[in-house]
Amino acid sequence: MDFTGITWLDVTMAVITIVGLGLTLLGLWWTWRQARDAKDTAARAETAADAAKKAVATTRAQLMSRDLVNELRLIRETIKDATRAIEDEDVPVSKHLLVQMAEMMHRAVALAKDATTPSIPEDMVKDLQTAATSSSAVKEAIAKAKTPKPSVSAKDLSPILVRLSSSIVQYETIQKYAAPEAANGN
Amino acid sequence: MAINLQGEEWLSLIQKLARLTSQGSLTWGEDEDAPASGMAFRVDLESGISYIVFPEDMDGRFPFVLVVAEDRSREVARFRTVSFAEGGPFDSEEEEASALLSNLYLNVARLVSGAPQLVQRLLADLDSLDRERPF
Repeated sequence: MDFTGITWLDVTMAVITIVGLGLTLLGLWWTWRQARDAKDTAARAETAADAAKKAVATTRAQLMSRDLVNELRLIRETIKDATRAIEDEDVPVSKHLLVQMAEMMHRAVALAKDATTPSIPEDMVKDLQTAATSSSAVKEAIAKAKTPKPSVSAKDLSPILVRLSSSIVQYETIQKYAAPEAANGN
Repeated sequence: MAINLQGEEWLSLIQKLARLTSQGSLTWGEDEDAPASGMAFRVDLESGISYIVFPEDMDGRFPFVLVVAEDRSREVARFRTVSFAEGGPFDSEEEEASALLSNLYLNVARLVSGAPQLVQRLLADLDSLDRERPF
């Protein structure tokens, strides 16, 4: 190799160029690292936000599921009390329990129709709706009658209540042993 | 303190309310202060008297209650429907007033829901099609 004619200035310039290139590459690498870190941070934040959203949804579903199960249990107990009051021809208690029962059934239907609550059998939702309307109608008939006979007024309602009560027991039993994810409808 | 009105007085009052309602002279609306929405209805007159009707159990069904109030909210009298034989005969004015109030409540609920107005609009719409036919 012939190095004739290369001055110190050339060597200095070459060194400066090499150092400059190195610094440029270092700068590029640094920028790339910063960009990668920012992307990772954003991804982590997104994951955290998603996790928070999921946690809120899960908690909501758990609360609604618990509410629905509680409501159904109350309905089953009220059906028992109302049936007894109707059989005993107890006018004031029958009316009171029929009103309460209808309200609970409407609430249960509203909860059951929410997409996040565990699905309950369609027949049961239908029975709840029918029983709610019939309970109010029977209460009205008892309240209107001059000589009220709850057992006569509730003649058509009783079989619906018996069927509903037994399907609630079945549902409660299944829910009791269902895995948490299944119980939440997930 | 609520004033006690006699059966015949309630009957006259409810008869008049029913007549004015069917004539369209009273503008009923939903009672916003009621605990359940879409169940209680009221009409406020310029005199300061208000009439409020609602089902006792807030379920849209008999028994019904009529409250007369002064200054929009001060209750002065209250009538609660009593049992009566459907279609009569009635043994008392209270029973007749109860039957009338039951009908009045259902009419008012229908009026406030806008059902009669909708039917009228639909019929007018169909009538206009009828007129457009050449023969």
